[in-house]
Amino acid sequence: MRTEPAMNHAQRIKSAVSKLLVGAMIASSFAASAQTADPASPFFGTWSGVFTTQDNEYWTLADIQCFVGCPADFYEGLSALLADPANDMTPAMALAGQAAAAWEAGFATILTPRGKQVRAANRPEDDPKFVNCQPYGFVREVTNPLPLLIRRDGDHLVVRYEEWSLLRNIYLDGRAHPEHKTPTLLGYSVGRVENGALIVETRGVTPDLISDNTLAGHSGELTAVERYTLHENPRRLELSLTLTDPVTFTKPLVMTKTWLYTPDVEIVQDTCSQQPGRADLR
Amino acid sequence: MRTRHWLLLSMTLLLPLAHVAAHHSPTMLYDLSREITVTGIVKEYQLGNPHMRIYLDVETNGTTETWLAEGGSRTQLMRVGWTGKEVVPGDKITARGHPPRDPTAKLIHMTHLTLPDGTERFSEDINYESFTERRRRPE
Repeated sequence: MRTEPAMNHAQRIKSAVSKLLVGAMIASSFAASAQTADPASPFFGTWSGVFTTQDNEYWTLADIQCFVGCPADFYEGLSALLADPANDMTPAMALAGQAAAAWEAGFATILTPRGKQVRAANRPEDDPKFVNCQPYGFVREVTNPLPLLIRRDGDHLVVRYEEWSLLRNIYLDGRAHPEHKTPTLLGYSVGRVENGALIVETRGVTPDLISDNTLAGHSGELTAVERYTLHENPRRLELSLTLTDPVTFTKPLVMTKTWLYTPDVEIVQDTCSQQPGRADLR
Repeated sequence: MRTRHWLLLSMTLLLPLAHVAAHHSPTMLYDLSREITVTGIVKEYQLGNPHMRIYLDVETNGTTETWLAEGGSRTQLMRVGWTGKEVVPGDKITARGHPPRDPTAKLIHMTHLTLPDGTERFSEDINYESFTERRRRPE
């Protein structure tokens, strides 16, 4: 019977080092595997709206009408009118007018008295965010027309918006919203990936304009739920943004916005126009 | 000129829609159904956010007034080759576009900029004309 010769000291050390190296490789492999298994990873990368990708044949007139994001009712209404062959002889912009009128009639019914008051007082031409170098509020930033980049940084996603060069954190570690937090421009966001959708809930947002096409505002009671879903042909990111604000709306307002996957688009550093606004030109 | 008229028609049809907003709602500030041109001497040019702006001195009936010509947004224009060095103070330029709703404002929504060498450039973000017949997605 043959027996293995006993290892000398040097051989034992060499064997132990080899085992350690193999172990490290296996651990590294598991880590890489865990990284690729990140459920948020399909959302990583650069995404661009119709504003930056106007030539892509995917977009329709409804998309360009909504390039700053718009109420889902309007987008769906206009898309249906454009898709109906019976309307082929009607100018497309007239159809947009029909869709806008229909949306307006419905929107008026969901505004609270305070919501109506705020909307009536909103005058973009007097809005310092319109005329000067001041970043938008939460809703306008989330639906802004310029590209965005999504990446992970530890326990959170970082969204880099080209518009105003703002950065936003979305915590994915299961934490709850803080009970007391000073409201901020972009609020506090926690998220999760559920059935392939990235769902983000944001609170603690300072009151601001919702969009300069609705002229509606929101209060500090806003709860915003973003639901991002991925689609193919072309690869794209679709947002359904539900705004719940009992001060402003009697029922939630749903906004929509779509971006195409554009790995070749680079986020450009935004720079302000510092100027006195328009008042001095009157 | 056919192209220009079609563009104007599109813009005119945009007018009734409170809904339809460009990056910063030109429909709110400007009368998109009309077109004006303004010629003057550049005082200042900023390719910045929210929109590209050129301040220019315009001589009218012997008096000089400062106008603001507002074009497209910074990063979008940079993607199509704008550098922020298109004009410098002292250049004579012509801005073509839409007048303000406030008739006392010295403003123009500049869709086209004629440079000192006579070249005219599209200076807005969106070419609406290209979308009027894009009703459905490709099969």
